[in-house]
Amino acid sequence: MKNLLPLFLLILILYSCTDCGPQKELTVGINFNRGKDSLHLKKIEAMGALDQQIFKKQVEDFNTSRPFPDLSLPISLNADSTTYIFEFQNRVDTLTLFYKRDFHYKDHCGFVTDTKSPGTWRNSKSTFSEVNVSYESYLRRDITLVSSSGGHGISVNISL
Amino acid sequence: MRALIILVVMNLTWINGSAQKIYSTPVYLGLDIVKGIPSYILPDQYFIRKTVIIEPYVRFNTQKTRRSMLIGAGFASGNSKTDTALQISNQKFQGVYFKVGFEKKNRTRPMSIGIGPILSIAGFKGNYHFKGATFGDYNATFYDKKNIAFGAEGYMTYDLPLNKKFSLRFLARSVIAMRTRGTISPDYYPGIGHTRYMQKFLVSGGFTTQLFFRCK
Repeated sequence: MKNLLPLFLLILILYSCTDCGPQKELTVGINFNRGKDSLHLKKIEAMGALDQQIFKKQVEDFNTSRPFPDLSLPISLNADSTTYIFEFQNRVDTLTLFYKRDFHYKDHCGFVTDTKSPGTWRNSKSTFSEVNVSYESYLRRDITLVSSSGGHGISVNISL
Repeated sequence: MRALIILVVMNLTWINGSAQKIYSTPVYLGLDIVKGIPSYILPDQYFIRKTVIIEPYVRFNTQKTRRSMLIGAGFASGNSKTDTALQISNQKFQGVYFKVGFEKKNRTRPMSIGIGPILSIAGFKGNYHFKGATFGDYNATFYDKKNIAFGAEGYMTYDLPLNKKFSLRFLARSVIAMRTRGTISPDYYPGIGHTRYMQKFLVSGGFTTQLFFRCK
């Protein structure tokens, strides 16, 4: 029996699990290519948002935290695009992010929410000089007790 | 010659008489009288709500001693109890099913055991919901139609005669079935029973009471 114990542990560690994803409003990670303190955000707003509270918190972290954090902004589950307005010290920019919502049923999870690339040539529309959007599933893959892959969702890299 | 004819006639009469004794086929008509009732009486406690279940049966003896055959059909339509664990609320189901049972009676007691195939065709409908703290909640409806499940049902019964014509049958049953089509995990599968969190392979069981009427 003692000899089987490591085997059981190995099976347990390698045992594959299912990730159900966030199962709530999804967020997008936004990274700005910025220098030291050159960027000061005054305000972020989202079109159609019922509650702007989360954006205030994000602005605060963006201006005060070191090292510079990425923004983590919610996207709308009720539309295939979300528009944000970024108010800086000396400029105002808009970013409309396009995605395709994917609600589907997954065994042992029930309904899960995920996004995909919009499938059109345009991923975003913005007044920023450059916006790169990468799409990945919000559901992690190949999960064991010690590792997993994916699950990062939508990431946006912005150059002013 | 006359004696031979009399002998043949007597023989045929005896065979016929014996045949009637051996192959007598009382036919019973039955109806499940319990399955849907708890969903109306105890809607908060029971796992289904306001569910109509109509399950008629025909039962008759076969040529073998102590053996009988049961043919049943059923219709179920109702709701399962709200469970937000899978983001689903208010799962509705509707289905028809057919079953056959081959029964063997106990020698001394009014009890039988039976086994037979079951086929169920069902559809499910419901709402699912995701919380959206910033932009508002997302609500949608899903349809999971044309589900087919087939399997086997085994059961034990106790028959309680009420009078010459009517009898009650208390029944304990268990079912295993495979779903050939369908996406969502049904809370209740018509004809099979409680199947929450089961996907392709369904296992269920329960107790019920049926009322039988001897018509022949």
